[in-house]
Amino acid sequence: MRIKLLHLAMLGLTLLCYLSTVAQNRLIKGIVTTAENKAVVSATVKVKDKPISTATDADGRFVLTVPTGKITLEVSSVGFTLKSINIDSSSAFITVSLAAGNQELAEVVITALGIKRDKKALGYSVQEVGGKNFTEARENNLVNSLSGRVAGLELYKTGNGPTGSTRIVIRGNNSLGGNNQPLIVVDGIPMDNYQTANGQGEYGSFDGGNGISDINPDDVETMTVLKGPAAAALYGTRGGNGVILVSTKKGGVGKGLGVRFNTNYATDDPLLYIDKQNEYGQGSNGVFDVKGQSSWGPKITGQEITDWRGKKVPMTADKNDLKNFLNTGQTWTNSIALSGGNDKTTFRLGYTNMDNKGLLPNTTLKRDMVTLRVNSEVTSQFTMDAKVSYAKQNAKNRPQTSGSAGNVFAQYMVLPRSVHLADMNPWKDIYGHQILWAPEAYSTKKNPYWSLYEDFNTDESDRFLTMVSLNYKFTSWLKLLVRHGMDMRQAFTESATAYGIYNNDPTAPTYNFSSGYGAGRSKAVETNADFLLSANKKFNDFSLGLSVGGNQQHSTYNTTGGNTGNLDLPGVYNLSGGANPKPYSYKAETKLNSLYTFLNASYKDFFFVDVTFRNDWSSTLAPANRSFNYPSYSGSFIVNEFLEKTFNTPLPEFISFFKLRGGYAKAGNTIGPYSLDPSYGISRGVFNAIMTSPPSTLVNPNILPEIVKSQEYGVDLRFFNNRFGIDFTYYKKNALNQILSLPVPPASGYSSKIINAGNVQNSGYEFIVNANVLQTQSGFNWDVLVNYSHNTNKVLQLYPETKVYLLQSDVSSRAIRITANEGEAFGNLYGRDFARNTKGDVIVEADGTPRKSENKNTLLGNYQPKYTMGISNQFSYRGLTFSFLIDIRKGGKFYSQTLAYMHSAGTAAGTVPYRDGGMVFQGVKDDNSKNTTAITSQQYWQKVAGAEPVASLFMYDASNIRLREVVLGYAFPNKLLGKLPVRNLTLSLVGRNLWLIKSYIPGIDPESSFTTTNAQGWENGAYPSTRTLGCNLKFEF
Amino acid sequence: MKNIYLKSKWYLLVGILGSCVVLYSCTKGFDTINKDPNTYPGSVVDPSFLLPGVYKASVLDPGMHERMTQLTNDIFSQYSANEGFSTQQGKTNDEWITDFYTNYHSKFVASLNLAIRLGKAKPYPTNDLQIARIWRCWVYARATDIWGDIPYFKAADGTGENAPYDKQELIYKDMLKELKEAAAGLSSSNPKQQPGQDYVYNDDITKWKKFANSLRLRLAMRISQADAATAKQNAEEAIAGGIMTGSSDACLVLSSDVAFGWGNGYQYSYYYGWGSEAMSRSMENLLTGLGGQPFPNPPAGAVVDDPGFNLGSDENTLDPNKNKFKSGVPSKVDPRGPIYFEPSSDASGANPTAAIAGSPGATVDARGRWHGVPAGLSSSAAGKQQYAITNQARMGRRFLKPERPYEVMTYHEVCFLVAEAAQRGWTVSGGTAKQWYEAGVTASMQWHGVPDTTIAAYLASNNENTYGTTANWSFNSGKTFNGTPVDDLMSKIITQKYIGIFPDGGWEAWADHRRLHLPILIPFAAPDPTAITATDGGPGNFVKRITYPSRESLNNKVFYNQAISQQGPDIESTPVWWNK
Repeated sequence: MRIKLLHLAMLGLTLLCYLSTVAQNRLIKGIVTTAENKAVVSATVKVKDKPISTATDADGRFVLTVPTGKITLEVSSVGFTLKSINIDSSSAFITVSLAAGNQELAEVVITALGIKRDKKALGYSVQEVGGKNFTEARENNLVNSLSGRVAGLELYKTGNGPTGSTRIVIRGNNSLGGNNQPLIVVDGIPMDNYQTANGQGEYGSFDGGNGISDINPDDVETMTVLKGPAAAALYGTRGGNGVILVSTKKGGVGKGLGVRFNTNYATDDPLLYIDKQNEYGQGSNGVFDVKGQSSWGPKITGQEITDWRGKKVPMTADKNDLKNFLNTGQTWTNSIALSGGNDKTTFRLGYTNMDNKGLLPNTTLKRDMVTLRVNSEVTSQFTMDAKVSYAKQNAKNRPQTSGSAGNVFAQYMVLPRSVHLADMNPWKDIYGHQILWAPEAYSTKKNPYWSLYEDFNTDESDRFLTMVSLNYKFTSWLKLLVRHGMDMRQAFTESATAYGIYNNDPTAPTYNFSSGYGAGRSKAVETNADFLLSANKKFNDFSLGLSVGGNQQHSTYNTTGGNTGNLDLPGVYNLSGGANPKPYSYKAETKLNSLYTFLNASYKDFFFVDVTFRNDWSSTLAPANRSFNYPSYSGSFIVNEFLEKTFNTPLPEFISFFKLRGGYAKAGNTIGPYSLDPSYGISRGVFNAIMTSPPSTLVNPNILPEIVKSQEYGVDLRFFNNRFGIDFTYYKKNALNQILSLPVPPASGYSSKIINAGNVQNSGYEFIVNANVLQTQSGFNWDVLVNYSHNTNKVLQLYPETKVYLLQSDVSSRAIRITANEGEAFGNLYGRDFARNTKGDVIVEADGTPRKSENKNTLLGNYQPKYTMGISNQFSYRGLTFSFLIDIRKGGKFYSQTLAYMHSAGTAAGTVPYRDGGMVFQGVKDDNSKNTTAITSQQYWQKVAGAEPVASLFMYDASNIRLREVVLGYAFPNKLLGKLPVRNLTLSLVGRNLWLIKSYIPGIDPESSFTTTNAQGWENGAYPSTRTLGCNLKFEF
Repeated sequence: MKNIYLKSKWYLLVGILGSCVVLYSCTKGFDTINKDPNTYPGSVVDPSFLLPGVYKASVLDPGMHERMTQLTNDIFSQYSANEGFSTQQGKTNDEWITDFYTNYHSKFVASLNLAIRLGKAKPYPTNDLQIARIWRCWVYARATDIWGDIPYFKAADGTGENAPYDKQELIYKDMLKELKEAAAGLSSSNPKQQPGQDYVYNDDITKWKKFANSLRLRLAMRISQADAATAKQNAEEAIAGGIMTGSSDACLVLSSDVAFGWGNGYQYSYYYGWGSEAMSRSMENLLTGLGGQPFPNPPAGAVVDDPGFNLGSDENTLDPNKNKFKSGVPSKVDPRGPIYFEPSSDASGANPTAAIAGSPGATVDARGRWHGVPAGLSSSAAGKQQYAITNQARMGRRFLKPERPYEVMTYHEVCFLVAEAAQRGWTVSGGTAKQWYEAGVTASMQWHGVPDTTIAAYLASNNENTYGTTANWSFNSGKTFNGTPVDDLMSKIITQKYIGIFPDGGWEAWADHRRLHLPILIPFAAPDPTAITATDGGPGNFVKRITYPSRESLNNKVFYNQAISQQGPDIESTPVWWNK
């Protein structure tokens, strides 16, 4: 509470400062050109030591409001040398000519704790992605825009539609029990990247998105990925999986109020449809059966049948039934940003509205996001930075996933081909009961219209992110930063399974199987208060920086809600309106205190050393184990400057930059609250009896946090005036002290115990290649950026008792198991193969069907890719830009339960041959004689693809190449706009996920898993991945 | 002045910094923060908090009831057939029994042992302690009956230590002792426990006592073939000590008071919705004709006593109805038959034109059929339309009702237990074997709402079922099946018990069949050769036990190997001690 008050006070103070700091201003106009007198577009023009800046327009022109008196302007642009110009009090128009030059010197990146550092001083790899990439070809989930743009970053997009989650992994999976996702930090304040897609099993649920999607892409200036613990060591216990830093935009000083609009309209259509057969209808063994739930019936010839509705109709298959059922998804995003200020204070106020309609009817997602950021220089010593952002999200009917009966896609894929989606509307009868084509299967089948219009789920959330940061300069070399931030999210979720199932006999009791309504509220608050005292001093050739800081993190979470049990009445959704109302509540609180110090030293600007040390005290650990420390060491050596400055022998001219770097670090992974004491759950049982039970996990009061030790080495080389650059990194990291739940013999009274053990190693390398391939006199420019990463992973050690660790056991129809076994790679997929004799021949039963292996412990692959690669190309010619991004993923296996179900149900295209028999399976009988017994396609597929399928048949290579993004833009010259009040108008045509150039899974996108847990590499009933086409218009006043 | 200001600035800085360091490394209050506010601390847990959860959990939640009762015990006892899993061929399903084994130790027994430890630590006697001991016997008996030797004496004792497998003989003797002591320790004069917690007998201590004795009688009868002397002594003591005297004494657990749905105590959900189980052919053969009562209200258009026509040869040759596809219903049937199993219908998905494989071109209207499928069909045979579960008689929907409690032990089971004891010539009070037999049949029929006049006619009927067994105690058809008489008194008792304790008695029915090879069941048509080794239709032709979770052979090697050395190979054909 005290911290919150303090926070509010600081926020108020900052706003006051803004109002009180009004100064005298004047206008400076100018034009920025190259040495060849060509306009430089988007060059930054900044008043030195002031937060006043602007960018040049398409003609290279700028207007800037500056304080009266003498000032110094700094003009910079990528590929040019920074230029400083002193301007006296009378100048009103200037022409600045920039020389092509060594940009590396001025390349500043944001590092841990939000500290800006010269990139060349860093002993580790960081990669930054600029804000434009997030706003033109938009993704509903901000993090998806990083795909292909950062080496070593893997995104596992769920196949849960436009509102789904994305799993983020940097440089491989460290933790067996943890979630392996990086920490997200926004403007120096950690943010909760909550996960809702976890814990879903075979029968599905829905995916409520993840936390990072609450960030407004329009607010983002840059996203910086701190890959290794050396970069993230200052985040200690929270930095073990890397960190993604998000920096949001600040206001700029301009002529009056700057008003920027961005409007974006995009449509979504399925990128792929699964191949289905259209030749055979409902039934079995070639005979029509109106009760049949599969498509093994007769050949479709238009013969008359009495269908499931009792109507006499010709039997037909409809190729486009799914296409006709689905809508075209649509997303409108409109944003406006106001910015302005004076030499003392600037502000930016941004608002974005997003409105998305999914492919499935009656599914929507809406967002409103507002951000206010104020930067103020109160005195020459004291500056402030404050931000409030608010995001409101409202989702309706997020798609059901996996084997949920409400998953329209899973339902459709196995629907007999002669049963038509279009016939399922209307979806309820006069009694209000669901009309179902297979009434006896009411627990596993649902009318898709019923799922979309009667059942529902909604969620509404309000999220506030605030930040206040105060800087005080004691002297030229000593400053203090005090910062406070809060991340608060409140959500209200509702879901209902509607009352009333199909019952073809209205006089008999209706089995209202599993109807119900649930509603709940939750609130998560995390506050971070930190300080940082930094001293920086130069002594001749040495430069030294020493900082001391601390952070206090406090998180609380609470939720309350309930479920009704079966509903009393149809259409009435109230927590008291059911047969078995059950309330629930949960709360949790954690604190993490830390102190850190770091030293940055450099010699002659070519040798740099960083040492950091952090100590954490965590409330979730036992008093004796509470204190933990995380050191890191890294260094960088600029070879070209060393040779030049020390031996006066520069490298050949074509080498413009040559840096070597290396580092070692230790970081960690936290433990959740309440892991130390045995607890007896509270519940009410039959007749309201008090019920509890002893915990089935033997707790360990001495549990320690996980530790990730890592080292990385890299080379950064640039050639031909930085026109070509290559950055290579090798890393190796070991995650130790893993918190594992070890299965114990149940006779001990426990099913598992918690221990610290294990060692998971990831090693790999990354290439980042950038090239300015072409740059012509006429202004044509072609840039290429290639990101490549390769990771090898091995579980070096588990625990002494067993070599087996299940990341998830028995997913989907008990088809596969996902493991991290000792001596193997993380994410191996085990499943069932055919039964084989010692020679490897498949054993065939007497009836001619192949025998399935009894055990499902055949190694079928690993879900992790061998390498991933992103190639982006950017072309520009005057105001015209064209860019495209290709994503390549090589290796990794993927299991498709959808295709297994479709083969078993006879709906897959592959089930057409041998319908009438004549399929002789290549194999041997028990007596080793060759199989000669012919079977039908139905006999074969129902056996191998039904329950407990031969998983090896549905295991695919997940390698793929895709055209991830294309943007064609034109920046209208302001001259052309004439007297219109509009300036800097840019129109772009954009596309995302346009073309799966190469894939090995028929009809299913390899990016279709449905959880964000460690158990990846499989899908079931995935929402089709979508192709997005749109246009983006931005302009200013 | 300026100097002072400057100096004070530095002091201030040092001060701020110092206090920051103190503040940020301070962990005051961390211990309070990390106390879980969402659960009971161990210090307040009382035995009465632990028991209700065990009652509910140990009758098995829907998921485990589906796997352990419907898809394992009910398949091996042939209460139902054709479920499409490996248990259909007599094999253990490792995943299901892993779940059950884990739950039974770490949930049921761990809770009960904790309740017993807490109860014993109290300075005064409590009934909760005795109830926990009784319930533990019920839980353990089910486990040892399916596996044989299991960890018992040191299992889940609160130390967190692993425990060895104990011999079933010792387990049984200890359970009999426990039940004797617990019955003796129960007393209405003991202090009242937390009210509202006993939803089994609603704090009626007399009924708990009757249940303890009745359960002791059940366990005693179980070991009748292995240790007749102990069995006799315990059965006689139990009966003398006071067993159930009527159906109001039955031990019933309503697994949920209101909820009706997956996850909320919905029994036999597997029959419908997921549905791939139907009445077994053995059940059909036992019920058809028994007691000579007409089939009530045959479905419209159903053929009565269809002679059937020949199919292929998927079925077991010991079946008197082998390879016959009959439509319609039998003319005479045990009155409970149509209650237990409803004729196939549109609503249950029966086919108006079922194609009959093996008889080319033949189609049959499979609606209104009251027939079952043979046990243990191969998976390819089971997929044929003549065996499709929707085309068979399937469990009556009355058993899906939420208000139907789980029958842990019924009065009619007790009647048949006493009848068997009397038939063995042991000392029983309250009547002769005939009287107890007829009381059992009557109680079972009344339990399902059969009118008294029908019951009387049934008990007097000499009408034979498919095997030649009759209901009339005083009549013997003299028929034999596979070389053994089928209408002797023990056959009558166990046949009636098998029918009477349906549907929750599948665990007992399988145990009785292993112990006495009664009633007559058709051997599995295509058993897995590793699970069922014999082929002669004799006792060896049926599943004898289920295997230990395979995880035990990996994680608990030493004790697992010791269990095998004392009991025999860990396969389905190894008999347990009381079956030897």
